[in-house]
Amino acid sequence: MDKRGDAETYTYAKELEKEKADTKEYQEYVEENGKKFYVPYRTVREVIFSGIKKEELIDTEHAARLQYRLMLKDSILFAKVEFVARRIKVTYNPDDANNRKEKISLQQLIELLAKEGVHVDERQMQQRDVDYYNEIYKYQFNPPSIREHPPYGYTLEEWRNGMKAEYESRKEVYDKAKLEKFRAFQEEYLLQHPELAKELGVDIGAIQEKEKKRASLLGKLVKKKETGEKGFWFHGI
Amino acid sequence: MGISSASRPSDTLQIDERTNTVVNAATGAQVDELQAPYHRTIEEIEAMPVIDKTKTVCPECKLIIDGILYKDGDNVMIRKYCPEDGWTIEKYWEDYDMYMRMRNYNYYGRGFDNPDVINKGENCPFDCAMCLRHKSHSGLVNVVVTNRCHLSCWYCFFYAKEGEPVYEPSKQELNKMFIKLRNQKPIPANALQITGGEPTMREDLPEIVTMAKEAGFDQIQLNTTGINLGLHPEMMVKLRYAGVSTLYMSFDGVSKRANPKNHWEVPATLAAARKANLSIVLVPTVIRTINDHELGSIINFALNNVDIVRAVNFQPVSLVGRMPARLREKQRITIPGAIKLIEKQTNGVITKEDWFSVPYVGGINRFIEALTGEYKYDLSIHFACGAGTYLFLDKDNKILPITRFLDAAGLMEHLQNVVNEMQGKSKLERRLMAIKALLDINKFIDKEKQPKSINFAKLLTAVLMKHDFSSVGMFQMKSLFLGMMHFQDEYTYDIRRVEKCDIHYSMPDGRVLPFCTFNVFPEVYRDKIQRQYAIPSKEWEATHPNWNYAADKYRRDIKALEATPEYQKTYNQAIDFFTLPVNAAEAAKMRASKARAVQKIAVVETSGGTEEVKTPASEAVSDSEGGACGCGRDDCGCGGH
Repeated sequence: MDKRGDAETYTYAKELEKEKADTKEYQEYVEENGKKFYVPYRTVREVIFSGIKKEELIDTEHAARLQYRLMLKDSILFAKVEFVARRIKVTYNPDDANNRKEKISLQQLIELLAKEGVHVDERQMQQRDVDYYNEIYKYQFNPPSIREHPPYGYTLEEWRNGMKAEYESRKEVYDKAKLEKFRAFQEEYLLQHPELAKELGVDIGAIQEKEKKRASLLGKLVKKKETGEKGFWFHGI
Repeated sequence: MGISSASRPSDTLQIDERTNTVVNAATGAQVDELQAPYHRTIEEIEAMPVIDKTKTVCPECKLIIDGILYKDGDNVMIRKYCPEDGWTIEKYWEDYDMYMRMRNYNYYGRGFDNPDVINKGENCPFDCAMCLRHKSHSGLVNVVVTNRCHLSCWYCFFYAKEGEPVYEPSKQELNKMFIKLRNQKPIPANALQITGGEPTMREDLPEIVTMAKEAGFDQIQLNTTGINLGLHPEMMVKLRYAGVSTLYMSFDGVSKRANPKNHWEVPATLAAARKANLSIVLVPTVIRTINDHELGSIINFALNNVDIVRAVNFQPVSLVGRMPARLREKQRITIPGAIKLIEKQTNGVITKEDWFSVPYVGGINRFIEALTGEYKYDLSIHFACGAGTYLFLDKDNKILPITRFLDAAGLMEHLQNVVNEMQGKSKLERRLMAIKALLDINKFIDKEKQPKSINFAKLLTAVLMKHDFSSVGMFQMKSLFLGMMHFQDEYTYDIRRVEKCDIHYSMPDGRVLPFCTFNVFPEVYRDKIQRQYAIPSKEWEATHPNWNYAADKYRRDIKALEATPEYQKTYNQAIDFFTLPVNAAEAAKMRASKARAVQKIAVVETSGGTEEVKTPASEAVSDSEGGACGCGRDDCGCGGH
């Protein structure tokens, strides 16, 4: 039972309005094709510390653990500790960033590394601002192809010599047919569940007419195909 | 601290001749045989035969350390030593013979042509998103649609506690994730699991499902407790219409004690599923000493509802989070441990030899790909991640595991040989070779033993020739799939398994992660990203009128639920298939045949001291080739080659 009374809820709402007024300059949404998407960061910072002493990184295993420990901080978005290259790259939410998320200053980051036994040389440090939305978010949603694997039993040359183009055009046709098959399943399903058709405002009569026409034109030659919707659940095959 | 030989009074075990039990030599206290492998001295452990080496993590400090897989009696164990936290000993696989048999089918898949991040995964598993090192495409992708839940299970870390931020992406944000998944190359994700929290908390769930269908997913599973769907059957109809293929429903046991989560609501959920014609996969999380005594009953329950239950997917527990070592030893169970219990609890009707490793099935996919020149799903996960078998329920209620009439291993080998021969051949030659291969299928099927109601050769030919869902749908209807999926935790962690994982999670920032990094290290993945993209609960409440945390929670009326006709029928009128004479007779035959086979096996004598157990290179794929990181690649850039 929720013991909070209206007064408390009202206070929450008031507090939130105040919070929103203070933070109204935060841009937390981007617009793409008229739709809004929540993107919590705008400009963040990337710092690369080079020339780290190998004895401080110890080995690849300890470098990986250092990376994990850096990532424990919410203010650090990404960290990469490269033992071989003696380099640490950190993308973080700086304390002057215009967002509501946890922040960290460069000095705090340097102190954090020092606590982990890694002492950076600020003369071998490069920093830059990072456009989180354009450089990170967009890339991760639409990464480019950087290599190519042919289907099993074929070489890359065979694949690129006509097979690939054929596969892609067949796939396009198949994807369309798949959607049509799904729509046909939905029509059939509504016939079985008229209460749903009513709720959705779909005219069952029109579907029944369509079915009748299909049956009468082709008669017994029409093979009712299973939709295969039950399918191979395991790994979706 | 991890286990060390100094941390216990004495780890020496001996047999008490009076009681014929294993006892602690110093104290005389009886030691459960199941827990005996945890109680050896380090000296004894180091003397045991080594099977393989891998890379793993220290459960305490997360240092990447070496893991040694070794043989302790019938168990495959993993030992790992952290210079800061000491030893960790854990069960990896509770059947040595099964381990050696299944690892023959391990193979590497293709990974991603358009990985999320350009890095070689040198610091795996802390470099995560799909990277160049990853070796499997997305076989099944989980998308978290909310972290709200109507239950508050004590062991669950997935749901938002009171006052915690609410993570609930908008429809367009989810659609963006769907499109990204469908653009994966070379093989787009084709199976989606909508999960949470509890996804049915969202009123717009049918719209989300339809969006996923329109994005092109063939198979959409809904991971749910089933409670809301049982109470509101009209929701189930809407979801089926929207495109949900299967409910992936938690089901931890048949009894109330084993399954307090949804025991009382399951009958209504089954009834609603029948009405909506929506199939169900039962998903028990198996924990020793909690519900491991009900595995046979769960399968029996599924058989009694085989008209609507398509599969049972057992998930041996993943012990994420801190827990006392004694409790971990008691509760740990692995895939073979569960398989052996099933053999016992089904009176030998389903034996451990009836199970095959998931990568077995890769042979079929590679055959179809080589024949058609089209990418097909590649089940290239690590062999220790999952296992499965099919049960056919014949007309006379006889239960027939698929392996009784199909030589699955032989068939896969045959198909793989055909794939190898097809290399460099023309389309026409490939087709002729395929026809010959299909004609040979009969060699692998024992027609006298196959279910009377199926022509299996015809069914398999249809699957291989049509290679689409409709044929496989026919296959499913007369059978029940039993699966095992063992997700890792920090104690059993094997980085080679992670790099081959094909069960992934989609994140709101576009990245896709393997299950066993997303959930085993939530502090740097799952929880971290959800905090970034979540809304503070105060703000959520203010922007969602009529919502408060307490109102989300479900309260059941047990008496009312137990009084329903569905409840009575479901739990009180079930057939016990495993005690039927037709199945008992078959099981007796199997036991006799096994006993004869055991007598023929030669005993290999070993000399004293350490014996390294090696499988000849011609037989097995070793995952530990390729250098320090175990990635198998000289160019991975980890610096260890």
